[in-house]
This record gives sequence, structure tokens and C-alpha cells, in this order.
Amino acid sequence: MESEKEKQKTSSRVAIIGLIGTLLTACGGVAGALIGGLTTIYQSRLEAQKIAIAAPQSSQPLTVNTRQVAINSSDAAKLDPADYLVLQELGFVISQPHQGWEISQNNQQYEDLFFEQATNLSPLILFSTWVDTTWDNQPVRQLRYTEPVTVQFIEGSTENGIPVDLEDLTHETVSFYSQMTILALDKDTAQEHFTLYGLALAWGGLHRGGVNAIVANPDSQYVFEQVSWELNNVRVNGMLTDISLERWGLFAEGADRYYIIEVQYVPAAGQSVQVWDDLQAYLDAFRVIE
Amino acid sequence: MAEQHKSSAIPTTALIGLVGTFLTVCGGLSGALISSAIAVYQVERENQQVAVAAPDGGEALNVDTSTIIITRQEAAGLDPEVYYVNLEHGFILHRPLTGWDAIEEMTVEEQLAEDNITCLVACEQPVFRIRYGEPIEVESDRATTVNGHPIPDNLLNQKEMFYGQPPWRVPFYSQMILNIFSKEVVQELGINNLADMILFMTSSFARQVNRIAAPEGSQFALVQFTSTYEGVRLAGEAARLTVDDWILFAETKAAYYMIEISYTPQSGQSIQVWDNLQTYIDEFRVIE
Repeated sequence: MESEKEKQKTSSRVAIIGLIGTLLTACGGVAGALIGGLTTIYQSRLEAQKIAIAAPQSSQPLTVNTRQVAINSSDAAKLDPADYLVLQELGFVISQPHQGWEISQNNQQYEDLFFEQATNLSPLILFSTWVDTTWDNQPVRQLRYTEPVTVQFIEGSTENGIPVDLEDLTHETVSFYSQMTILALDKDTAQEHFTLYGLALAWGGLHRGGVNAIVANPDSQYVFEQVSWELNNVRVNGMLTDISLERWGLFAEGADRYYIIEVQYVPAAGQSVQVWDDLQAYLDAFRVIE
Repeated sequence: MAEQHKSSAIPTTALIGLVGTFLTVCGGLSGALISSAIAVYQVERENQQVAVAAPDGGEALNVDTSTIIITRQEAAGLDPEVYYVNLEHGFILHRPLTGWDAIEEMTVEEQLAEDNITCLVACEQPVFRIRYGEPIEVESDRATTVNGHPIPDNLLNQKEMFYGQPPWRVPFYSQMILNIFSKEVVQELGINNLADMILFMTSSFARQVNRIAAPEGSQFALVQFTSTYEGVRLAGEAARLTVDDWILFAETKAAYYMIEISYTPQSGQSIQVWDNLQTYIDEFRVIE
């Protein structure tokens, strides 16, 4: 009799355990569904805000997380000055230069971009076609890799397919730098000629024929462009070669300023991949202070 | 014997519990999968819906980018009373709605000639246009401003060349214009991809462009422009006129398509005109 009761008890226990198992699994399933759904939404949204544009013939895309571009003033103030340069008066944050890189002087201005000797000038100077001298005092900051690729143009050299006239050159060689240039345009000054999107279209238009991509996600206020600049039949370190300069332009807006962030990468034989990684790190670190 | 029966019932009960557990696990997993699939679908669909509004609370034009491309087979199945299917140039338009003129077909050269402009490039490329009723006659002169800025001298001189001495009377239409550019033809102009095409057609409107929507990896882009003219006259009265334009760029293997919607909020036209323009964009397809 005792044994029968014992077995009944055991049977009930097994049934209750089964029921608990069922309940737990049901809860697990529902929780799994919720977590799965939320994670998917989060990932999809995050991916929609992350823009990656590769240069042609390259597997390396430069990426921008447009969610991260804006930062508030108090968060900017908390950034480690060993890693970041916070320019409150200009409304943006950049990375401190990594090893092998240098940053431009504090008072660099748009007009200074015109005065570099024997160096390939930033295409930003071509905006002067429209704005004449009105941007001359607009602030610029530049992070530059100190080892340029020095190019010698020779008979038969071409730039984007157009023959280079050696008689027009004022220097025998031209130095091409990997660099990031930030032009912080006062809105009142810029709006005489351009909206933010107008700046993006004009910058891309300066590279007509070499533009590979324009990305402007509908839920983001940023424009990201990628262009190529081809130098064919030139000499580098005495060797005949072709070079493709890769440029990316990010166009962003703060309360008082528009920002043109121009990234130029000059691939060179034997150059450390660190140069590329540094450029990506600089773009990752760039913030507009809101 | 009864004892033996009861003891055999114990594993049976446990087995039932296990089956129940197994079924619930399957149910939970299926729920998770369905839920994730719905979430992915919703997010993807949202990413395909692009709405670009004109500034100052103007109308927003919506484009469902998932439906722009259609196969020849699908195109052949469309009702010809509702849709204008042009297999030669690879596109579909909604036929003109009530109050709208018939579809006009012309070349770029003929289109530019209407404004006394001499065509220099891609002159034979086709243009299709649908206009609404009568235009608004806008009178402007050298003092007219666009978006708060004076019109540059070179443009004023061009105007004088085309229209003679000011004041100039220019008609503004609510309209839809479709330009098709063969890739082979525009390659000679240095246009190698959709990005080049967008820049070629828009980079000179740097002061008017309010928004660009060009999602990553997509075969289209939507650009919105607004031109606010001050110091103009409408029907003899001093006025301020705003013209909103949207341009949708798309591409196939053979051609670039540029469909432009122009709308003037001050036209006094019914809201139906705007709804019709939205319909034209909704129904526009390129045939791949």
C-alpha cells in the first residue's frame, strides 16, 4: 500500500516536472522571439546607418557610422585629450595624430591650401571658381602622413586620361600625401553659394568622370562620396608605374557650420597598411559637436 | 499486477511531458523565426520607402524603390488603358490623368529649343513630358532673387540672350518630364555610372538642392530642389514664387532615367494636381 502511494507520488512529481519544463520552454520561446526580433531590428537599423564605400579595384572600404558623427558638448569635453583634439570653437572633434602623422597649425585657413609648393593641392581649392576669395579665412585642419609618394611626370604621363603638359609644370616632381582635410565653413558664408547638399554635388562635380559612388541614406543628414584620380605612366622612385589616388568626401552639418571632410589615400608599394588603418581611425574619431 | 500497471504509467506520464516540452520548444523557435522574419521584412520595407519633403512644410514625394524595376513579361501584362508601356526605351508611365495634357514625345534638342537654348550634347536623346493645364506666367527682371541671392551676372546675360531685354515672362508648369540617356551616348561625356550622371545633371544647382536620398547599393537616387523667386510678378501683381522639383534617377544596363516632377504651391491648382504627380512617380517603372 505504502509502495503504491509512493509510486503515485512519483508519477505526480514527474507530471509536475514535465509541466514546469513545458512552462519554462514556452517562456524561453517567447523570450527568444522577442530577443530575436529586437536584435534583428537593432542590427538592421544600425547597418542602415553605417556606410561603407570601397574604392574600385580594392577590397578595403572606408566606413562611416553616421549615428556616431554627432556628439554633444559635454560628452566632447569628457574625451581623453591624449586621443582627441576637441575644437569647441569650430564645433568638431578629431583624433590626435598617430605615429608618422602630423597635424596642421592651429591657424590654418582655406587660403593656405593654395600655397603648398610641389604638392598635389586639395581639390577643395577649386571651390574658389565659385566663391572667389570669400572663403579665404575659413578654418582648415589637416592630418597628414609625413611620408609622401613623390611622382615624376614624364612625356606620355596622363592625369585622368588627359595628357600632362610638362611645360605647364612648375616643379619636376610632385608629392602626394595620404591625408584628411577638414574645412569648417561658416554657414552664413557658405550659403551665399551652397546648401550642404550643394557642397556635396559641387565637390563630386569637380571629379566628374572619376566619381564611383554617392551615398546619402534617407534617414541621415550626411552625404558620403568616393572618387578616383588616376595618374598613368608616371615615375615613382625611378620606376614607371600607374597610381590611383582614392578620395572620400563626407559632408556634415553642425549648428553654425558645414563640414567638408576630405580623405585622400595614396597607395604606395611597400607602404605599411597602418596608413590605411590610421585614415579609417581618423574618420571614425571625427565628430560634430551639437 | 495493479502495482506493475501504475509503475508503468510513470514513464508514460513523463514521456507525455517530454513530448509537450518538445512541441513547446518547436513552437518557441518557430515564433522566434517568424518574429525575426517579420522584423527583417518591416525594416527592409521601410528602407525601400523614401519620402523627401520640400522645406517649409511643403509636400513630401514618396518613392517605393522596391518597385521601380519591372520585367518585360510583367510590363506586357499591364493594362494599356492605364499604362503607357514603351518597350523601345524601357519604361512605363501612368497615362495622363484628368486635366493633364497628352504625353508629348520630343528630343533634348527640341526641349531646349523651347527656351531658345542651342543643344550641344546628347541632342537626339528622347524626352517624354506630361503637363497640367495652363502655365503660370512669371515676370522677372535683373533685380529678382533666387533663394535670397541675386541671380549671377552670367545667368542674367544668358537670359537676356535667350529672352531679350527684361522684364522676362517665363511660363511655369506643374509637370512631369522623363529624360532617357543611352549609356553609350553619355559615356562620351565622361559619364561612367549613376553617380556621374547625378552630378552632371545637378551640380550647377548647388544653391537650390535641399536633399539627396541615395541609399547605399541602390540603383536610384532622389534629389529635391527648391527655388524661391522674390521680386517677381504674377498676373501683374508683385509676388514671391516657390517652385519645388524632385528628380528621380534610375538606371538599367542600357540607360539612365531621369524623371522630374515640378510643382508650384502658389499655382492655385487643386491638391489633386499634387496627388496626380505622386501617382506618376508611383507608377513609373524601368523595364529590365
